[in-house]
Amino acid sequence: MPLARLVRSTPFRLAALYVGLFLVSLLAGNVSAYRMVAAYLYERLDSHVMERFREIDVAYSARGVEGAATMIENHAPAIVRQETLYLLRDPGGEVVAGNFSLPEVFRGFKTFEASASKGKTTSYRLYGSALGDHELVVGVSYEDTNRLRQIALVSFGWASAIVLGAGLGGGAFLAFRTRRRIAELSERMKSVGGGKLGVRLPVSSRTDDIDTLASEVNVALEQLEASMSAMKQVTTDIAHDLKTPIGRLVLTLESALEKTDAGILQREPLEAALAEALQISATFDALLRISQIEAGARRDRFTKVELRQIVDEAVEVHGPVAEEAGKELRRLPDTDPGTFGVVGDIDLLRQLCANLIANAIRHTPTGTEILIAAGKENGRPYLLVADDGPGIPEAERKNVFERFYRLEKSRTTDGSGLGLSMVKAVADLHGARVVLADRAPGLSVGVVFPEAWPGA
Amino acid sequence: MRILLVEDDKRTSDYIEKGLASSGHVTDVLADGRDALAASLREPYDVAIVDRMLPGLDGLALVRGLRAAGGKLPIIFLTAMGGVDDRVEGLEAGADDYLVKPFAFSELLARVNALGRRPPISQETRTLCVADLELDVVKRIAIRAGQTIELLPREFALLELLMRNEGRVLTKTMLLERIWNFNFDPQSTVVETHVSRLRAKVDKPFDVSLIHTTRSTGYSIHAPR
Repeated sequence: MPLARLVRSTPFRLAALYVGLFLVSLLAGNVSAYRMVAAYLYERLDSHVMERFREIDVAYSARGVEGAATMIENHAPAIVRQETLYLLRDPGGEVVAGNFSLPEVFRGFKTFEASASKGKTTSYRLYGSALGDHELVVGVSYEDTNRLRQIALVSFGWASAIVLGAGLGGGAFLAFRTRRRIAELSERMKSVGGGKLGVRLPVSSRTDDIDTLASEVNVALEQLEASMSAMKQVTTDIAHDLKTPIGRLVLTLESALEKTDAGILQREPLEAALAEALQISATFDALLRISQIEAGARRDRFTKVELRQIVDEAVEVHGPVAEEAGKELRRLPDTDPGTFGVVGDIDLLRQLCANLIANAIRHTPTGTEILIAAGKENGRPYLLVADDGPGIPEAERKNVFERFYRLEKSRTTDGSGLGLSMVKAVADLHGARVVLADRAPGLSVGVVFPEAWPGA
Repeated sequence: MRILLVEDDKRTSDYIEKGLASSGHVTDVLADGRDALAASLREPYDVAIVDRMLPGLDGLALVRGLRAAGGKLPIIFLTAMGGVDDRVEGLEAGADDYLVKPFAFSELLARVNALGRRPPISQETRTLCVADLELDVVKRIAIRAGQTIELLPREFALLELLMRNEGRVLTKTMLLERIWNFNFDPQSTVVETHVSRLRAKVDKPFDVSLIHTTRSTGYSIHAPR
């Protein structure tokens, strides 16, 4: 991955920003902590010096110059190691006791550099004041204080370094990991863009926001794939099944032309051609209707539809048609005294019912009894159309809802092959399930609605 | 009748104009929606045939505009869109009828005839008469040659519709729409079957047939000519 792209990537930027902010605040915190420690150490040094001074002061008050000198002597070990400096002078400026000298005596605090052995300079904190008519200067080496300050500085430094390292490392790790996941997602989306709609984004078990996003994208891809394949299916179907009638139309017109050339003007071929053309147009209409229904058209026009009314009407309208075809359409008595209202589109439900009955009439032998019923089971209203005809083999049941699908044995019967696709589309629009069952002999088609009309 | 045809496809409009002329109608053809709106408000047309897709002003807007201006001209909507909602949309805009392209000319002619110059018999008419067939639309009784004919409600409605349009052909699609509320192709012989049952009751017991079939178009009722 080119560095420039890495730097531009969101995870890297976020990590860098995070580490930067963290570092700045950490340094600010450590610096101010160090300063506080140092200030405290200097304060402590001053009070240490003052304490030494007071010791001498107390001894002087009690026993005069003698006492003060004795007290200074008592501190001899420290004096030898040059940790503490004393200088006691009489009013005449002569040194009475002490281990160093100053050209001039002063009052208050002062820092003093003294060259010690081996060419090293040592700094001292001095305090000078009057002791009766004498003058006393006391000093304590900075060495201890500086050592403590050093330790504090080093330890704060280490803490900063460790935290900085951990922050940078962790940030980089997070950035790279996220970057890797995003790179993978973008890689896969690229192949989706390239037309591979079957590709899905990886979803880890962490269910973080990236996973949520990925699952949502997956759902969208699923739908996209389904509608794409439906579209491909339609295109193939049209190519396959509409070319046949168009082919017949062309042949019929050609033969009509030939006959006209031969001086015989006939009505039949032209009539056949017209019927063929109208059938093609009707098939297109049906396809358009199905795809509009599938697209969810009309749902805003849903009203209360009483299934019992649909069934009553169907018997009245299609009963004579069935009879004419040598079959019987019979309404089953209601299983339930209540109403079977659903939320739906009455036009489309009429068509669903008409298609199911037309199918039953078309694909069964003479003498078949076709049953139709409305009912309710577990609170779910349903429509049922059943027959005692040849039925549909188990293996074929799923396919019959596909556009233009026909059972091999019914290839020769008329019909567009779209009836059950329409049924399925209407049922889907209503959230209803189409259940095909074997009645041995015969087929039953149930359309089970998700719920009754509120209050029905 | 004087008919306004608003259609921008020249070949279609020529064809329709010729067909209407041979049925004795005079047709003005306009291709632009805006011109058509002005003309429809100015001229006393009997029926307008309006294509949905038009330059200038589309068909839906034209129909809405005409109705908003108070025009009562009966309108048939033509469209290449046979979708579920397109029909409802057209009728809601104020069209009186709706026809999906491609259509047979006979279908259009039947609809034009049914819409134009509605018969003087109003909806309040008590009885409809065709030859010796009498229909009391209030008492729901059909009598022919003094004999009462028993009809199912839907058969009665079918007969009433035919009689209200005496002498005019009503296509199968029109009957499906108006008698059975089927705005789709039921893929079966619903109309044929019911008409044949009606015939068995109205015509068969008598010497003269009143219900006539027009080949591949529809049905009409009239006294023998």
